Amino acid sequence: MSRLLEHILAGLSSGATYGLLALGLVLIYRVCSVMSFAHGTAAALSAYIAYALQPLGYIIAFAGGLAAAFIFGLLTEQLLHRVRRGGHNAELLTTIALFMMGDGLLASIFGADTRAFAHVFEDLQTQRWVPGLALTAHDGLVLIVALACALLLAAFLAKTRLGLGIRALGDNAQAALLLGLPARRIRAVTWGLASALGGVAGLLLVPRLFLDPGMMFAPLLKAFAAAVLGGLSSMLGVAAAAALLGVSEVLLGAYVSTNLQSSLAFIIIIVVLSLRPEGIFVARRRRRL
Amino acid sequence: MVAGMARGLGLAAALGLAVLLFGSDYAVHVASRICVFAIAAIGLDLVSGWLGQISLGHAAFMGIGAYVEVIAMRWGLPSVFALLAGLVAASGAGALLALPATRLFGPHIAIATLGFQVGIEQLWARSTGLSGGRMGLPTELVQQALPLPQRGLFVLCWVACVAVALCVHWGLNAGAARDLVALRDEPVAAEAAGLSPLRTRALTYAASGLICGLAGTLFVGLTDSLHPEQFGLSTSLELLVMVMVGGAASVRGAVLGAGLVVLLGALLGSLAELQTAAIGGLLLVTLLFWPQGLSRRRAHA
Repeated sequence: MSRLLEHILAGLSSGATYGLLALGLVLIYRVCSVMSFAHGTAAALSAYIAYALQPLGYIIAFAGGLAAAFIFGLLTEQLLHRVRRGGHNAELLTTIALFMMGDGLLASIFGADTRAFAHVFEDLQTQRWVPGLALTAHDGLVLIVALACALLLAAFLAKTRLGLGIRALGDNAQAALLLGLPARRIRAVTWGLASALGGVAGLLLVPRLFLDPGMMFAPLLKAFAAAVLGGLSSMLGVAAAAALLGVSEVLLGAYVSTNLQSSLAFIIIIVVLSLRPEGIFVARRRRRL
Repeated sequence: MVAGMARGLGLAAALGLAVLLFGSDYAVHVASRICVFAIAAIGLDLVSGWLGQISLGHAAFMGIGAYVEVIAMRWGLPSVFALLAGLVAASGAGALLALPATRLFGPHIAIATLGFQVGIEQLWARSTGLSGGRMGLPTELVQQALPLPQRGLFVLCWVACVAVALCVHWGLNAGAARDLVALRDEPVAAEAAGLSPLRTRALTYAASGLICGLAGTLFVGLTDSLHPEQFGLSTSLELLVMVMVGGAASVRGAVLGAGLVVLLGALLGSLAELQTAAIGGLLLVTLLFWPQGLSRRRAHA
């Protein structure tokens, strides 16, 4: 029984990182109708900047990493604003271009070899968190930080003026523009926030994955799977889907086959998009025509 | 239109002849790659240009064509049937992928095709008994069945490229272009006018898969062994850049884009990391300054 509990907790912990990435994806998608393929790049960038700033201390390194991701988000929004006249696919293609450039540039600046990322507290990786459960303290830390970020995001969206603007632009862009909302500023903040969330995910994942330019691709694919499963429209649905995905991956790996474990993400993507493109947590809507 | 086509054909013939007569072995190899990827880019253009659906999975069709052909030959099929098997498998996979793609729009299609791409790549990497996995699948059987010198192979690729370009051009002019553009720009009106979106998209995806599968079977001739990464996500992204840089929904644009991207890759051959970054940068610059693509640059200036 305690083995099962361990698996579920470990799954929730990796699901939490997918969830952080997916929340950023959905936030951007709702406000700007773009699916960002550069989201993993923001996360990897923040991990690399934190790595470069490590000698200055962990607080500065982490703050620098998150700031880099935030700025990356702002710049992406700038670029998207410029290409928007090129048609609705231009924005999607721009994020793809950034994804391609990010991988190559990170590799040529920092070197393509994989590096280990020394953890904040050296013994976090091995230390048991709860006596009797094989759950590392790092897993616990990931869960707590991810939950805290999700709650902060929810509070920000619910309580602040800017959060209200983000929700308004996401729910009904035309009405929001008619009311005179500063759409550019809201979009920029959305991109910055979402990328910073991705940066948090990157910083949480890097001790597990090692530093590598392409390291965020697999987590990004899983975040896409979670976003698709959750239906792209409800934050709560996407968070639940990410948790479900993380837990089922670990359970599949433990009890069925590890091959199936690493294939689960794209199987979910293809099956859900073929059968229920609106996601499993959303009431089915009739096709409008 | 006819004059433009004749000019394009003449240019392609002159360049091909120049490479054939004066090019070094390496130049001939690069030129063969350009022809192969131009075919694949024309195939992807049907979906991403004419249907307006961004696909991140078209290298998988090349992989299906190439792997199925080589595996069929290893099973003892005659080379012609092995080639046909590769083409049928690629276009069948295209028709299958059209089923989800028909019900989706915009970013969902990009995610679905990304899933397809990763899935097919893992299939080749995992089924080691069938495909050799990451160790590679030797292609010598195909080379023995069609013993062509390097320059002969280039002529074959060139002829295939011109044939595909002409067929797609004529097919589009014969009415397909009208249907596809109608479905892309005015889907509701097109459906109301009696166009079946499912049938049109499935046919387009099947044709697109077929053309990319053909490019894959030609690619077999250019390499000693097949590896899953040769048909990986980065190849799919390169195909997409070729289409968008040259100009979406244009046969000429796809060929031009293929030439640019393959040449850029060859120039940066020793700097593997910068290659992807430079190709991504090319896409970004195109989107910013020539959103309609380089082949339509003058018309919009």
